[in-house]
Amino acid sequence: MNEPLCDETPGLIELSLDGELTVDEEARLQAHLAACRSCGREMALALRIRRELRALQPVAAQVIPFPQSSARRGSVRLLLAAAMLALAVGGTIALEQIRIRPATPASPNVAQATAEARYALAYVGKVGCRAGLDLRDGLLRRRLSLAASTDEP
Amino acid sequence: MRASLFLGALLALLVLLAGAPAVRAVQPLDAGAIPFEDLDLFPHDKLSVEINLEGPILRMVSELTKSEDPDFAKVMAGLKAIRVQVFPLKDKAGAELLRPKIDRAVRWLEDRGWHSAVRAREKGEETYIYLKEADGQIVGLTILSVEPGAEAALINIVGKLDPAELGRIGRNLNIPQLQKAQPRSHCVPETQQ
Repeated sequence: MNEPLCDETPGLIELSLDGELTVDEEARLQAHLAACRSCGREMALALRIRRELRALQPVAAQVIPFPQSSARRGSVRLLLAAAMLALAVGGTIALEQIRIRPATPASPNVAQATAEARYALAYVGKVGCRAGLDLRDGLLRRRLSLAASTDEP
Repeated sequence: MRASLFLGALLALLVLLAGAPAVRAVQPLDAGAIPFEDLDLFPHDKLSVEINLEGPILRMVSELTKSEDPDFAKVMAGLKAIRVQVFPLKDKAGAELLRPKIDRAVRWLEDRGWHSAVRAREKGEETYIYLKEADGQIVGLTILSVEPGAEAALINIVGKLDPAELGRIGRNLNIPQLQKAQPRSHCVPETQQ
């Protein structure tokens, strides 16, 4: 007669502890526990576990420090130094590229430069004329050749 | 040990950053260039004209003028630098004060392998034209010009150049600032010949 209830006892014990059994179901369970030693021990065990769980203190959250060996700290510093060195080399090269590469002149600057270059060439023409020298006839080149030949031993 | 490694890396960083400008600073002048600053011919704050054009902008000038003035553009394409300093000379006394500096500049040029193409002196006006040659090619032109009562000028044109071509183009350029100089009969622009 009790056999079928023994199979149900673990589930009924849980429901009983949670206060979810009806009065009739609770009365029937208690009657069975009183008569069945095995189910009675199950109930006693469940009550004990519940009591002990409630007796536990709440655990505060805490940071567990990550164990770092001295070798690890050293390698981190080495990596940091290497990163800084790479940054320095890269930065220097980039800086040099920026310095070496001339900024693209804006259009008005090029127009101004054109005017200045024309002025310079016109000045060369003017000075050549004033010196009584017609640069066009290649006199300069001949004089240069003459000067070079007289320099030779 | 680790601390010294770290310091070493920092030191390397500082050396690299500090050394970069120094590497650039020791770059030598082009063969046809002259150091205007070292010659110190004219007081910098009293120049009436100062022109400093270098390779990149000269190439852009060449590109800009290619269609309208191909001859001028071709000359510009071959140049590395154009530098001009013009200093006003109010009277003969100013020119006399300048003479030692001119002589020093002429010596500087001759000591460094520049060939004198023109040394003209007439009625107080002086003109020196020097050319620098490298590997059989003219790579620099320097003009020193003194006109008492008018101005003195130092011009340096650097790059592969043909003086005859420069003169021809120069004569044909219409520059209002230079019109007061009266051209001699044989120096009229080609178009008028």
